[in-house]
Amino acid sequence: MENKIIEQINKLKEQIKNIEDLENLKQLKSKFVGKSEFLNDLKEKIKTSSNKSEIGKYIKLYSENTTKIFEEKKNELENNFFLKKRNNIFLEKTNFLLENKEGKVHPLTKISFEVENYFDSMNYHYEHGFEVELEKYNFDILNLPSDHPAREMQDTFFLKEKGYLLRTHATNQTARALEKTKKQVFRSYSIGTVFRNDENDATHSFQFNQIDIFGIGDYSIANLKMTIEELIKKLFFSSTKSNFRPSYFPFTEPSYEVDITCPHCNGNGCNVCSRTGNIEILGSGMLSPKVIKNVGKNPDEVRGFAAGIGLERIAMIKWNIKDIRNFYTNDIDFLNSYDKGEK
Amino acid sequence: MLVLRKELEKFVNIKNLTNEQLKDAFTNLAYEVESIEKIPFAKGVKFGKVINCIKHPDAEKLNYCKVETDGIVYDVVCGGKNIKEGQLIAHAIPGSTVNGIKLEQKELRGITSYGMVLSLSELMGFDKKIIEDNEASNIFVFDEKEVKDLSIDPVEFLNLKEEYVFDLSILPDRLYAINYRELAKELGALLNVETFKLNCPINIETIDNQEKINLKLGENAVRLTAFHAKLNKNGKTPWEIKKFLYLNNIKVKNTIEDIINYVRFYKGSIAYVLEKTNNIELNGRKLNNIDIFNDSPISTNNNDVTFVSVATKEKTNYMKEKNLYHPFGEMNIKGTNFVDCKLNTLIKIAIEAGYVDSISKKYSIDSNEYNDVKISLDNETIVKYIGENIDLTIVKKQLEKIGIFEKEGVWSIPKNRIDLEVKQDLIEEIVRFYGINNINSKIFPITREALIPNGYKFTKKKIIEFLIKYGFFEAKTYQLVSEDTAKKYNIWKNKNLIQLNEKYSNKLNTMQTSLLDGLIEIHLYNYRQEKEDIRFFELSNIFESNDKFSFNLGLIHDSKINEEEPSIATKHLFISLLKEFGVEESQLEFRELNNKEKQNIFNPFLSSEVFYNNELVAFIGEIHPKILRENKYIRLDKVKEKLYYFEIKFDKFIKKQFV
Repeated sequence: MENKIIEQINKLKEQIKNIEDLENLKQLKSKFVGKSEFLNDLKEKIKTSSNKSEIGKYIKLYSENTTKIFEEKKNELENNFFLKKRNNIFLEKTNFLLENKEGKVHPLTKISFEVENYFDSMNYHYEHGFEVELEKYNFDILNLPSDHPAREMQDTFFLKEKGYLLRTHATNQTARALEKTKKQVFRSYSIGTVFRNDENDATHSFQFNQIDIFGIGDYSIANLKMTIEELIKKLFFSSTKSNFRPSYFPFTEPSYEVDITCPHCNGNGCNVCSRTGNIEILGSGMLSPKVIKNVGKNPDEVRGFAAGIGLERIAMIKWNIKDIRNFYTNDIDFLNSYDKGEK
Repeated sequence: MLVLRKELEKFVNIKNLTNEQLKDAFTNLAYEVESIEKIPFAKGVKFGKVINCIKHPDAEKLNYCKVETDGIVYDVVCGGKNIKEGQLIAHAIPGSTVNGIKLEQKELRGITSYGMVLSLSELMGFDKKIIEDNEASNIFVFDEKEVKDLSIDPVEFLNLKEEYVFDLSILPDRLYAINYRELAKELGALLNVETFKLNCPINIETIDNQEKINLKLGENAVRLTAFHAKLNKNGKTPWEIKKFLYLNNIKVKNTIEDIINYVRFYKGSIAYVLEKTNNIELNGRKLNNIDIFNDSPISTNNNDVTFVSVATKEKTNYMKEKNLYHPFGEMNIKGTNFVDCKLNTLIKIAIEAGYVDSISKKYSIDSNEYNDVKISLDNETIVKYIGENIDLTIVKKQLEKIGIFEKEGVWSIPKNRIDLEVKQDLIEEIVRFYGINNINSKIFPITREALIPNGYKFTKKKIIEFLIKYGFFEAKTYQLVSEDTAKKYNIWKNKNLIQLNEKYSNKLNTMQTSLLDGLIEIHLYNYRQEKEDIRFFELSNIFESNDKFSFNLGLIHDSKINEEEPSIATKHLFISLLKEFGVEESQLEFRELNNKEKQNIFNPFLSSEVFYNNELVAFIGEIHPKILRENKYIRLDKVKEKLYYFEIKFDKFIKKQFV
């Protein structure tokens, strides 16, 4: 039987030499695989034979060999067809000028540039963030202890390697920067991608972007309010008002959620704000004494504020974008027109 | 927590407040009102008497009844299991409203039914699921001895008047407030209105000698407290307790759980009913089988009910299940280690549920009790925190109403306020009553100390500004991809894939190994929308390992960029972009791709690896037609489009700027 197989394979090798295009290769494949008498005979035999395992071995031997030959030939034909030996421009000196044309920044980047301008003007340090993080900086230092519900698998993407996760907020940079700095007065911000274990739909996304800011020094709740109010005015209109609501976040105390008057209807109620006139926009507060303690500083000496803002949320409100998935589909029409009609 | 407006009015004088004003008051106190809803009690219902009841001739589960209401005999088809002659029932005649729907006469299998006989859930406008099991499929039968006047509305007879439910979200630092009494007290203080002292109609006595109760506890029990709760004669009847629970959307079970739930909402306690109480026996009887409203195994008096709380060690995750954050355990950070507070927490829950216990010196649910916790907070610190000198006279008076007293900078904290430990906690309370929106925002002096410029930010901005001049769109794509994709496009040969824990079923479970896949995908998306000359780039971190990443730029375009020789444009962009960062073409070394796998991604005749200081920093070239074939750019060997790509590890060039 082995000899018969070798015979078949040789026959195939002989015939395949003359094949020059993919269409003929397909036909040959059908001859040697799909409609092969030799193979079909074996397949018939195995049904009735008492020596099923031996015949099975032969079928396997034949199939593996033919598949390999066909794969190699296909690769060769594809390369011959698609690729031509030519001058590799990348290895040569070239001289060329590309004409200017109008492109565009992503809407989330457009927002982050505005944020950067604001915080840079106030002399904040910028911290480049990263997504793969230790539980310590994403949770522990930030006063989210081990039995906190946010640490459940349904909220957080934990990684294979124990102790690591995809950060759930950009506040990990605050934890790191707070721990690192030796300064008495220090202001810092970071912008970046964060992850939550969510299904993607019009209002949820497993990936989104956050701005995280903090400042330590002789700062008060009044200073926090000013910082947020000014930022909101920069992002929307100088007439956009911020309203603070007491709330709770593990890493700040006191904590405040901030609503703004809807920038589309100036608080009169429209479809952007679900007719309420107000839109919840961000979370903020004074740095929790527990967090300050956790980074090895004395809460009686160190005081500061912090805030976290979702970039997608800002963009969706600002440009009345209804589906968060638009930010990741990258439809050119959307990217071209998202800010049309901006006042 | 659901708060019934009428019930709350028994505790605090808020009669003059509109629902909106009450909502604002809750908001100022840090309780977010998710919704305000009117309970759809049945309307236009009358008492009726079942004078005749037979099986429906044409429907097994229905009954055909004659109901006399207001002297008129109606035909009514009814599905209630327990309906029989002689019962006094609530009859919703045609024209009345049940669950918000107006009833009309209706033919049911050949018999015209004039309205319906109501069940408890229909009377109260509630989901059947919360009605106690043995009542759920029944019609509600009234006690004829109690109903003296048949002309009154049965809904009114049950004392169900217009009622609004406020759905409050109580945040994890304010667990002490999950009860009417505490909410009322805070509203009273904030609005400066009268609060009414109400005694809980259930008296709770501790039975100190546990030997008296034959409790067979599992090994897991860490603490058990038993109570003997007496139904106050002038207090609520079992119906009143049940009604309260129904209105609060809690299922009535006729077991001790009902009392625990009731006391929790009424008096305040963070006790929750544990699910594993079914193996616990009380005087030889299964705890969950005892109908607390009808028989109590430890009492001799029929008016008594028994209240037992149990915490088991096994249920360590029980706090999470109930969506409560642990309010107690002190965190002890040394690296990432925590004191495991779970056991501790459970004991405390048992104590809280138990109301009084010898172990519980520090915590109590009674805000009139004080412990040794005192917080020093002077005026100067308050001013520093708040940012202005505020008049504390009124705030202090308000705080006194919720049990917080100040004397010479030292503040006494009532026992129920487990959330108040340090001065920042107290400042939060002061601002809560003073009003965050009454604090004037204030600019701080901007110190102009020199900061180290951030290379990433600078680089990002410069790249974007450069590329959008040449018609490129900045894209953002998902960083999580499938394992296959991550492996296929692993052009940098990263050894470790960054993957989610195996427990997740997500298909996208691996961090991308290059920007290639995402950029091809969005090019394809736009290509299919019949866009021409599509140009995209993306900037993102690419992780080599958990602790190491590079900051990469990926750029893609098709042959429309320059019909004669598109790759020359790719190279031009590459060279002139790096030139912006001070890198000359002569400093870069372009080498042929030598690796077979990479040759499957890039056209080996039209691509290159780029080295800088002998380090691989970029790939540039035409994307291999095989890849395009897989993505259907090429059909029946007809080449429709070619794609060109480069990816640069940009951090190699950031350093040059900012070392």
